Parts: sequence; structure tokens; C-alpha cells
Amino acid sequence: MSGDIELIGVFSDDAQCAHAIEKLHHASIVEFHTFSPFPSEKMLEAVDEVREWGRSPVRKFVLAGGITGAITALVLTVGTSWEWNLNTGGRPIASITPYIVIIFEMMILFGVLGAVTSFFIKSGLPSFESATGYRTRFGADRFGLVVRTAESDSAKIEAMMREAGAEEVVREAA
Amino acid sequence: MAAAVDQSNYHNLSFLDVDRTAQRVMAPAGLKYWLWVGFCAFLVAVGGSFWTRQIYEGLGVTGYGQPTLWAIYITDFVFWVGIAHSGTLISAVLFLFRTRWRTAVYRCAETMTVFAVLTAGLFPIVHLGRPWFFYWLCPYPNERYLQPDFRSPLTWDFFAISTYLTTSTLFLSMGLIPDIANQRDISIGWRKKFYSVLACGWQGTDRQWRNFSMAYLLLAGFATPLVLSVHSVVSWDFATMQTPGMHSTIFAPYFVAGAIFSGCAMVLTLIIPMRKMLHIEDLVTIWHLDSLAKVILLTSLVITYSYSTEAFLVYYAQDPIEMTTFYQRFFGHQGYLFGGMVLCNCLIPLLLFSPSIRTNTIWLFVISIFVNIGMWLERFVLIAGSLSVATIPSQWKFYVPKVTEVMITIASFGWFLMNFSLFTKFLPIVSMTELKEGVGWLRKSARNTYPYGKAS
Amino acid sequence: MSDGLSRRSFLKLAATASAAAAIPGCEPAARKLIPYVVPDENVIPGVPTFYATTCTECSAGCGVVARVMEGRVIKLEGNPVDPISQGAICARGQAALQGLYNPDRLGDPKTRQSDGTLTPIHWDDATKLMNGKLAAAAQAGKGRVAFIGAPQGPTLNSVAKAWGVAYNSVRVGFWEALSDEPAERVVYSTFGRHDLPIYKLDQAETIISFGADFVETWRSPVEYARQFAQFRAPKTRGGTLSIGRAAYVGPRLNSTAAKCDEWVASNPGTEGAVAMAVLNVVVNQGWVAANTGVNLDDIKKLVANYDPEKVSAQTGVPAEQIKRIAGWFGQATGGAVALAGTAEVQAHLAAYILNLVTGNLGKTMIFLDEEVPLEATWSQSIKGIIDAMRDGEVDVLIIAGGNPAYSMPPAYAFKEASKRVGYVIWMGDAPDESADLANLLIPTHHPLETWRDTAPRAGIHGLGQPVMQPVYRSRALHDILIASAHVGAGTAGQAITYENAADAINTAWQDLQGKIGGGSTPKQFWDDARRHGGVFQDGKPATVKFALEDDDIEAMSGPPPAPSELTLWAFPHIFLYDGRGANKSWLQEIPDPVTQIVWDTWAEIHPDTAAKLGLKKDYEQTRLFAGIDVIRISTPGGPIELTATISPLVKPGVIAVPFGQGHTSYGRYANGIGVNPFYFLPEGTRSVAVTARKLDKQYKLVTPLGSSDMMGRTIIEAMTVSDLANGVEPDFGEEKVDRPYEMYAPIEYAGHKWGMTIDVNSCTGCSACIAACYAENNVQVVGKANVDLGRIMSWIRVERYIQPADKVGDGPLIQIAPMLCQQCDHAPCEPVCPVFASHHTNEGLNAQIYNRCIGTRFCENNCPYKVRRFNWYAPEFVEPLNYQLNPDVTVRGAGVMEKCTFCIQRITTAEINARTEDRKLVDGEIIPACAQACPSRAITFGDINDPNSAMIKRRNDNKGRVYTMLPEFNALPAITYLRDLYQEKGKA
Repeated sequence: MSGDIELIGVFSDDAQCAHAIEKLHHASIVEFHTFSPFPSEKMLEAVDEVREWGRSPVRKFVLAGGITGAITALVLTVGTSWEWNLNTGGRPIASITPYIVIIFEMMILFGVLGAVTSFFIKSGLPSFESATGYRTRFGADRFGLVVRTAESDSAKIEAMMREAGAEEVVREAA
Repeated sequence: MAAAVDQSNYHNLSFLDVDRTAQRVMAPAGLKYWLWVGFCAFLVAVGGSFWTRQIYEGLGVTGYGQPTLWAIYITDFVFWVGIAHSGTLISAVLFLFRTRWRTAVYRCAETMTVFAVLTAGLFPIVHLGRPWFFYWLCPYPNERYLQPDFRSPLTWDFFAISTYLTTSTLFLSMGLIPDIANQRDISIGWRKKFYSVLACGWQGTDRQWRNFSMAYLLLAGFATPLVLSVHSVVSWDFATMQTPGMHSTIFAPYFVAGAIFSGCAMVLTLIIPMRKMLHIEDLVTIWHLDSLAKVILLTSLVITYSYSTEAFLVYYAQDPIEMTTFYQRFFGHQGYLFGGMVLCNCLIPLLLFSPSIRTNTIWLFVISIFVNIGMWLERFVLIAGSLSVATIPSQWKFYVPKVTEVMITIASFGWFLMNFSLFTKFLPIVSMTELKEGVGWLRKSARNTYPYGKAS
Repeated sequence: MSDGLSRRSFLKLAATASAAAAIPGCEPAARKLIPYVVPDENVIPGVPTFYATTCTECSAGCGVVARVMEGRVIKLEGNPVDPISQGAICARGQAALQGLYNPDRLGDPKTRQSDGTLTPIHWDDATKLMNGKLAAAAQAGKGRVAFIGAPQGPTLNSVAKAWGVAYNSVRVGFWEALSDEPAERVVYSTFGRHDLPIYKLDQAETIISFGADFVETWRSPVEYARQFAQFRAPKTRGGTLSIGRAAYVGPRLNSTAAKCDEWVASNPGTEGAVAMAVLNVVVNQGWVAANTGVNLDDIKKLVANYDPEKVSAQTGVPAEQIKRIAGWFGQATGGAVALAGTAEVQAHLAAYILNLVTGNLGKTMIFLDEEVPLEATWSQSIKGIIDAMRDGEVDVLIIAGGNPAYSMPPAYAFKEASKRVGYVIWMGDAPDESADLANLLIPTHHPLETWRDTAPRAGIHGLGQPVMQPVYRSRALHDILIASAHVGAGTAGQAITYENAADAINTAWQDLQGKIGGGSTPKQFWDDARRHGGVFQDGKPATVKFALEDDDIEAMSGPPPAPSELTLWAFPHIFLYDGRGANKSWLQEIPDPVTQIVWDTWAEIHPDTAAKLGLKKDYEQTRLFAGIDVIRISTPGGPIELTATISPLVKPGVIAVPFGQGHTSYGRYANGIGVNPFYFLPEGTRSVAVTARKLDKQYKLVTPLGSSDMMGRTIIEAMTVSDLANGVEPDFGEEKVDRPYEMYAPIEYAGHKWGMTIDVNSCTGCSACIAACYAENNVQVVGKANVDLGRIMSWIRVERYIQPADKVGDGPLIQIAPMLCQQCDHAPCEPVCPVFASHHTNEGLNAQIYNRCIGTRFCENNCPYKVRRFNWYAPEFVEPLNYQLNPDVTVRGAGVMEKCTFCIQRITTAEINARTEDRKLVDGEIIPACAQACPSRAITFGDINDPNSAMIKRRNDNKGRVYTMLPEFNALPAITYLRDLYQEKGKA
């Protein structure tokens, strides 16, 4: 909605940033996102408090991938053996024991692919427009908390951030 | 003491210090660097020309013959695969165990993994009689309606190695994304474009980090059983053979241990000169090297145990054919190779029991070189050695390499080092992200838990 | 196989019947072998035609059948109806093809310029030149024309003689380097006959061979190998199961000795003395048959000086050993035979007398009523010719084979003599050392391109017909002779009536028809002869009377000479024989069965002698080469430098050196290899006293053999006859488990399942199977350097192991058996192949698909028998050797694994024939090349699913001997071996 602004809190310590998030949460302000140079457990926990995400959906993809891989391998090995049944060394045409190796490897392969693809999809990568309020320092040594809010509430929120220990709070028109 | 200084460096290290040190490495290269890369490229070219000749004239240009139909090329293959494994071990297994010291070295180790697998992957092809048909190993719909025989350990190999290559490459590149994003933000010109593409618009938002950590965790979870399976599969190339000296059930664990052993040694070989030349002593401290040395020492003891078990089992079973093979291995025409292998793999690493040697880069470097040689010998003795004294005594012959194999082997080192060096110049060889995480942890732990006592 | 005609051989004869009528024309106008534009009626592309002809590689005169496809002969096989070969053929016989297709054959006539170089000239000029020289010589007087050539069979020899007459000369000689002259001379002086007896080894119970290597090169190896196999086969003699008892007397343990019970290691040249000693024991023990018509007192006088104790010093043979074998011989109830193969006459005399006094004349040694003319001229007259040459009495010399410059003893001084001859003409197929002496070189047909006949013995008239168009622009030797004789007739002497060689043969056969033709018209007779490769009848035994002149007794009864410290003893190479085989790459590459050395001349030395010379012993578990240290042997004829191979298989104090190598101008495969012992030997013997010392020089003798020690592995097994008789299973110390133990349900083979039975007891290691495999399956020859790298390509090899010193006495001293792909049911090579190149067919064959193979070489690594072969280089078949390639078999490219296929092309052909003729396959219809060639019939091939197949029968009849190689791998081979048999006492 028009007239909103974005407050960008810049923190030098992830603990402080997390603290700020909690404050916002108590003030039931949930319209925010964060930046950090590394996966800070504190911040992620704080964010999770707010969003109630639970665990990442990546897991499901991986499971699916693994199962698909295993089944594909089983079908591939047994299927091709049956289609062109050649006796080698008097072994059964579909000798499962050695095929287990293939099944195992392909399970892992598909699982891994599942993990990576789902990571990209779920994190909206590759993305070509920058999320609002990004500063290059957030990639290096600072933690950012970006709140999108109405002009009216901005003062209160800025106060909260500074209280939590923000070095500075930048305000930007949305 | 030196170690104390190291960790206090860490104590004072700021996030920006981390970045600066890491980015200094990637500063535009000087003449020396390009000379080095050029030299590696030259080796590759030489090896390539020898390989071309081999393809053109046939494998006859090598020293191969009955009954040693596998020799140096397969040795190289196993050697490089082995090298690769420690990378995954350090990056994945230690990650799962939340081992803190991995942070500084794991990127290096992982890079090593990827390029080592790339190198290893070449050798089965070099080894083939008709390399231009190597793709017949992969199942694809074809007019002959023929698929590979999935019973063959070589087919297992093909699947294991390709899976391993994919996984470790993805693992590496995923870990790279945040660092690359960081690079993108600070660099200009073509590098900026380059990094922007690679970073895929990463910005480190909570949402991204959340999925990132989970995916990374799961990859690590996959990589760990994978690394074990891959080298087991490689070992089964031999264990499933009825050739005396290879037909043994302890091969899988014994090969895995050997792989980690040689791999960690290779990490040392690479990182000790690197931290000097690239001035990253602050990030990769003696403490890290020391920890690696301990792993080497442990695995060395494990394989020493494996050697003795293998020999004991044969003695205990009293199978005449196996007995002969082992007699030949120990005291035969090429017994000196076995001697060298024991010296390099079992005796020399014992020096690492002394902390002063473990914290002395020169010693570590020398020892790591010996271990690399020793592990190469181990595979050679195992493969060429066992094959040359086969079940039919009238067919015994001993393999002596010719210039072709030797040059191609040397070239493989050139190929590996060239790729590695290029990587260090254009991509962060130490993980800034994880170091910062680590630094954050160090900062917070007032009473730190270092092996070197309290921080001063 | 030897009994009756198999279907396959019947097919052959049927084919020849149609083919014999008209074969592709033989006029020299045809320059090259080219596909037919207008197809010959007898040439159906892809369908072989079989022509019966004769083998001319040695004097045995085996009948062979040439397999011709698209006008090119691609393989020689034994002629099943020929009583000598009976369908088998030796390695040298097979290699005749490489003589035919030899890339070093002479293409055009050539004249030698003053500077020694050769320049080709036109045929007409060549013949004009030749006839001119001959005419001039003939006009100059009698005997100014001389001819020295190889024996060419009765008719052609007479043609050559007639040619000489036409040019007013009788100086025509036929030179055989290792001829039977000593035997012939003894027979002549004692039995008054101009021929040799034939032997029936299979009729004997005891054989003593005094230096006659009858399974290798002696007279008729194929025939005697077959007879010997029957002799050694276990049969019930006098109520007990037993095998023939044989002893070989000689300085070296060759494959003949290896198959005998006892190797009597005698000093070189003293085989005769041993023979006399044996005779001495026999007569003095009174082990003589009644009324043999021999004056025993003469004999006693003859052998007076040869009391075993006395001669053991000179012969180096312990007296009791002599007595023992004499005992065998004298007390043999079921017939005994003594053979002699030495260059000295004494052994032959003693051997004949032994057979005579023990009443074996007419049983095991038989003179036939009709005396066939001797092939080779006796050395006396040959020397006569050479002396005449030396004295300048000869203006034109024609050398036509036999390579006298190479194989004559230095005493003859042939080269020097030939320099005194105004004009030397060489005629032959492949130029040799003798061609170097010639002013004019004339290319003649290879025997397989010409008409010829053989008369190996009474009753056997072999007919050799050309089997294909000439490969080169050559002409038949005897066509040239006859043509020139026609010219010469104008000048002097009388003419030859024949048009050409074919006409000569034809005429000879018309005479023959008159004699033995019976009811048949000349045409029928001639056609049958061409169809069957000759006319074969049983010669009737002749009654002979033995007479020993006193002066012979004088000459022979003198005490044997004292042995010398160190003796050089030369023996005929099993493949190269007297050197004629050296330009054939198969014969060079097939390892000598005993030493396993390829492409070289070696000096075989006993470890003790080697120690004296300061050579270090090298036949331990792992030997890297057959020999490395070079020794310098100083002979009266000059020094020889040779690499010593140290082996316990030779008498101490002897340096055994094979003939055959040391060629300087005999083509790419022969030149520059080894030395030629002929150059160093005195006349009339094969041994000479020498001194030797070690040089600090090294030269590697190459062998494909790794270790000579079987290390107690189940590879070749041997058992005693008594164990066999009592049904005792010998214990080889391996754990006994009930086989097969199966993890998976066994695969059922509904139709055929091919298998093989190999009788190790019959195998003599003659390697005919190897040569056959090379020919049939287009196996490439890799050369010395590659053999050294372990790249020999032969699909079948002869495993050879020496009993380790500590085990000597129990079992045979050396063990020999053919090893080829075992076609396992649980083939270890199959499941390891990632691309199914190696898999199992539904007929139980272990198939290898060359096109599918990518060359991982995993299969060979996993093969316990190490029988697969990898193509390290693309094969090279030098033009025109490639004409010999079998079109039914792919030539494998570089980077591909190959192996024995049980000659799958033959299996498929037979199956297709059976299907088209809508009938079942007949057992014996399919014969792999190795089984077909095997002279001793050690290999039997057949259908395992057919309980009546000869192969299964052979297994069942020899249940007590059945074993499989390396059973601990449970590979379930389709090949079953039958154990070697030996007499209780062992051999050492």
C-alpha cells in the first residue's frame, strides 16, 4: 500500500539482530526479512518463532528423490537384464545382489539432485531482482533486518531496533 | 607457543579480516603464478600427446602384457579416487560431527576432491583398449538393444564414480554460493559479471539460509555413505576377482581407510605450501594441520593393521596358491616395492606421534609426500604385483612400465594441479561464510576448548 | 577318428571328387590372385573346395588335403584316407602355406651383376641365357653340367636325372642335410636292400630309441606319434592293465624322451655304444628268439668290447641302467622294437640286430617286398660332384633347393667349390644362402603349385597336384628342366620324351596303373588318384636274410672313444628342422615344447656344467627369461657365441644346440637370428668336442614361459598304471570337496553343449594344434620383442612343467599338456565384462564378441587359466601372407580381447549344413582345427549332451584318469583332461 516505507536495521552482531526480531514479534510486527553473511542459528530460530515454518520442505524432496532413484535403478537393472537375457557365468539373469550396488548409488544420486533443486526452488534462486533493502555489507560483516511498515509506525520500530543494538537504521521509501 | 598465537589470532579476527585475507588470495595473479600454471599445462600437453599415440598405435606402446593386463593406469585410478575421499570426509563427515577445525580447510579439501575425481575418471578411459567406446558402459537406448552388464564391478564403478563426481561437485558449488555472492558485491568489471552469474542472486535472506542449511546438511548426510560406498566399490573391482592376492573380503574397509589416509596426506601436501604462498596462515593455522596429522596417524595404524590381517588370514588359511602369491609379494622379484610401501605407509607416519613433528610444517610436508608415494605403491603392488604371479605358473611375467604410462601418470598430476591452481585464483579457496560462523563461535566461547590450553 | 571316415572327411572327398576334374588353371600367365570376373564352375564364393595332395615339408610324404576358398589355399589338413597321416598333420606341414605365401619369395628371374647386385630379367631372356650356358657346357664335354637339388619324389628325380643325361652329365645329386644315409648304408650292407624298414610301434610292448626323436622329426613323425600314442595307451597285456614301456637314449631330454619311461642320458655320439651294450646283455643273457638266422657268435664277437660296466665310462650311462632297459627289451613278451636316429652307423646296426635277434623282424620292424627308390643321394656321390666342381670340371651348376651352402658340412667346402664353377644357376621359391652363390636366380613354383608324386614306402603312391594358381611369376622347376632338356637334346645327350612335369607324372601313373591298376581304366585310376591324393595299398612283407661281413664286425666292434670334457651336440629343431622352416613366422613363434624358447638358437646346458662355466642358474619359481649369459664356444670350426639356457634336461658336459637358425639371406623372418651349427660340425656326426667360457656379455633368450614349477597346482596330473589298474585315486594333496557346489540353479542346455576331452597321456607336445589354430583362426604373429612382453597370441599353448629337483623320481620329469579356453559353465571371465562382450551361448560356448569388446581386459585378469589374448597392436599380415587368412574368421583389430572359440565357424557351418539337409548333426562331423591336426589324437571334441559321442565315450572309458584343471575355482570347464600315465618306478 502506498506511503509505506522500509526500515533497514544494520547490526554488527547476530544476537542483537535476533533480539530485535523478538521485539518486533512481541509488537506483532511480522512484515520483515533479514540478511546475514552466514547462517546464524540465533537469527534463524528467531525468524522461525515468527513464521512458524517448522523444518525446511527440502527434506521431502530429498526423500522423494531417493525413492525414485532406487526404483529407477531396480527397473533399469532388472528390466534390461530380462529384455536381453544373456547368461554370464551361470548367474541368474536378474541377479539382485550385484544390482544392489547400482540401486544404492542411484538412490544417492537422485536424492542429491532432489536436495539441490529443491534448495534452488524453495529459496527462489536463481533470482534476478534484489530483495529490498540489501546492502553489500550484509554479505560481508553486518546483519540486516528490513521491516516494511506504514510511515506512522516507523518511529516506534526504529526505536526498537536501536534498543536491540542496531548500529544505524536507514529508512527508505518502498 | 606457536599454537597459542594462532588461536589468539582467531580470537582477534574480525569478519572483515576473514574477507580480506580470503580475497587477497584472489587478487589478480602475478607472473610466477602463470608460469606455474603454464608448467602444469605443459605436462598435460605432453601426457596428452603420449595418450594420442597410444590411441593411434594401440596399447602395445605401453609395457603391458600377459598376465599383468592391469597395471599403472588402474593404479593411478585408485590412487586419485583415494585422494578424493578425504575431501568428502573432511567436508561432510566432520560437518556432521560439527568438528570446528574443518571450517578453514574443508573448501580446499573439497576442491581437491572434485579435481581428483575428474583426474581419476580419466584413467579407466586411458586404460581401455578401445577408449572411443567408453560410453558403452552407460545405459542408454541404442540400436543394438544392448545395455551394460550390471553384474560387472566396472559398471558399478561407472555408476559410483559418476554419482560421486556429481555429488561432490554440487556439494562444493552449493557451499560456494554465499562466498561468491560476497565476491560479487565487492568486485567490479568482468569479475562482477562472472560472480553475479555464479551467485544466482544469492543475498543471504533468512529464507535462503534456512533452505541452504537444510540442503547442505542433507548433502553431507548423503556424501558420507557415498564416500564409503565408492571406495568399497573400487575395492570390489579387485576383491570380486578370483586372482590370488586380491580375492579378499577385507578389501572394502581396508581401501576406505587407505583412501582417507592418502587423501589427508594430499591435503597437507597442497595446503602447506599454499598457506605460505597465499598468506592465509591466519585462517589455516598449525592447529588445523595438527588435526589433519592426527587423522593421518590414525588411518596409518588402521592400514598397518589391515596389511597384517591380510597376511595373517592367508597364513591361517594355508591356501597354497595364496601363500605363493604373498611369498612373491614380500620376497619376489618386486618385493622391494612392498618394502617401500611398508616404509612409507606404516613406519614413517609413526613419527606423527610426536607433537613437535605434528606442528612442524616442514616435517608434515615431507611425511605427507612419503605417504602419497607409499599409497601409490600399495595399489601398484596389489594390482600389478598380484596379477603377475597368477594361478598358472607358466604364465607368470613381471610388469615394467614404459615411458608412455609414466608420462601419462605425471601428466595427471599436472592436470590436477593446473585445475586446482586456477580454482584458487578465481574462487574462494577458504570458506568465508563458515569461517565467520566459526569466528562468531570463537568470540562467544569465553572459555575456549582448544587443545592448546587457555587463550592468552 | 583314425578308424573309418568321419562325415567331415567324407564331405571333403566328395568335394574333391568334383574339384579334381578341373582346378583353376596353372599357366604362369596369371599374374595375381584376383576375384573371378567369370566365376569358375568349381568356385562358389564362401564355400571351400578340398584338393587332396601331398606334403613336401619333410621326407615322410604325408597326404594332405588343401582347403581352397576363392582360388586361394587357406589351410592344409591331413588326408584321412592316407595311411601315413590318417587325417593328421604336423606343425611344419601346416606352415607349408607360409612357404607358399612367403613375402620373400623370388618374383622374377634375376641375374647377378659384376658388383653383386641382382637385376630382374624377362623370363624368355632367363631361359635363353640358361639354355645357352648349358648347351655350351654340354658341348665342352661330358659331365660339365651339375645339378644339386632337394629330393622331389621318384618321378621328378628321374626327370632331373634325365635332364642331366640330356646335357651329357650324370652329376645329378639330391641333397638332404639330415638324411637317413647311415641307416640306409647299414641296411644295404647287412640286408642287401636299398630301402628302409617300416616300424609298427603300436605292435610293440617295449621301445628303445637310440637317438631317434620319432615324435618330433625322425622319418615320419605324424605316423609314429600316432603309433606311439596307441603304444602308450593303457591296454591289458598278459592279464594286467599296462602301458608300453619306452626308453630314449640320447644326450638331451626332448619331447620324445619326455614321453618315454626312461631317459638314458648318454654322452653325444655314444648312443651306438649304449645300443651295443644293450645288445651285449641281450645276447649274453640268451634273450634271443629261436631260428632268427643270425649267427650269435658273430654278434657276441661284435659286442665283445661292449660290456655294460666297461662302456658306462665312455657313454656316461650307469651299467645297471643299461641292464635294466636291456632286460625290458629282451624279456618283452609282446614284441619290442629298437630305433636308431643317430648320424653314426653303429647305433643303426645294433638296433637292427636287436630287433632281429629278439625275433621282432616282421613284427615290429618290417621290410616290404618292393624297394622304393631312395630319395636323397648318398654323401659319397654328392662329394664327388663337389670335388668335380672344385677341380674345375663343372661349367654350369644348378642348385635347386636343399640349400647346400647352408646345410653342408664345412668339410665339403661347397662355397669354395662353387666359386670354381663358371656359371651357377639357383632355382627355388624363396632365395636362401645358396642363392647368394648364383649368377642367375630363377623363381620356381612352390610344391603346392606343382605336380609331383611321392613314394614314402611300398604300396603308397602319393600324388601331389597343384592346389592353386601360382602366387608369383614363377614356373615349375621340372617344366623348366624339361623345356631346357628339349633344347639341350639338340646339342648333346638324348631328349626327354615328356612335354612337361605334369606329363611326366601322368606317364608315371599310367605305368603304375598298368602295374596295380587292376580293373580300372587309366582315366578312373588317374581321377581316383587325384581324388584321394594317391593310390594306397598295403605293402606285402618281404623275407630278408641278414648277413654280417667280417670286416663290418671289425669296423664296428672297436671300443668306443673316450668322452670329452665338453661336447657340442646339435639336434634338429622340432619346427625348423634343418633350417628350411626358419622363414615361416609360425614355426619361429611356436615355442619349442621342451625349452619353450622362441625366435632363437640356444645353448642348453646342465646346471652342473653351467656352474663350472660360472653361469648362474635361472630356472627357479620365477624366471624372467630362458637365458641371459652369453658363452663363447670354441669349436674346431671356429668360435660360436650363444646364450646359455640352463636346464636339467640335458646331460652334464653337453652343450645342446638346435639346427635351424643362423640364416643370413633367407628372408625377413629368418635373417640375423642365432647361429647355424652346420658350419661347425665335422662330417658324418652331430657332436664335436669343444671348450667354452662365459663372456661378460648378455643377450636375452625369449620365452613366453614364466615358471617351470607347477607348485602342486591341479594343472597337469599324472598317475601310475598300477593305480589306474587298481582304481586308486591318486592324492595330489588338494582338499577333496564334492563338486559342483552350486549357489544358483544350474543352466540347462536344451540342444547341444560342446565339450572336449584331452588325453594328456597321448599328448607329445608336438604343437601341431598350435599351428593349426594359427592357420584356422587368423591368429597374428607378434615377433620376438612382443613375446618377451608376454603378448604371444596363440589361443592354444603347450603347458610344460619340470619336476622340481626335490620331487624327481615320483612322476614324469617333465609334464606337457595343451591348454586352451576351457569354455567354463561358471566362466569367471563373463560376469566381469561390463558390456556383455564375453557371455555364454545356449550351446555352452564361452563366446567373445569382438565388435562389442571395449578392451577393459577384466576377463583375462579373472581367468584362472590365462587363456585369453589381447590385441596390443592391430595385426599385420604382410602381403601375400594375408592370402592365407581364413575368410570365415574375423581378423581382430587393436584393443580387442580374443580367445579360443572351439572353432565356432566350423560348428556353425556344420549346423547350417545339417539344417539345410534337414538331418541331425553326426558326431564327429565337427572337428576343431586342433583336434583335427593332432597326430596322436589326444584331443576329442563332441556334444556333452550326446551320451554316445566319441568324446563322452572317451571320458567314460577312462573314468580312472578323468580330471579338470584347477577345480578349486569351480569354473566347471567343458574340457576334461585324462591324466598322464607312468610306470611305477618313475623316470629319473
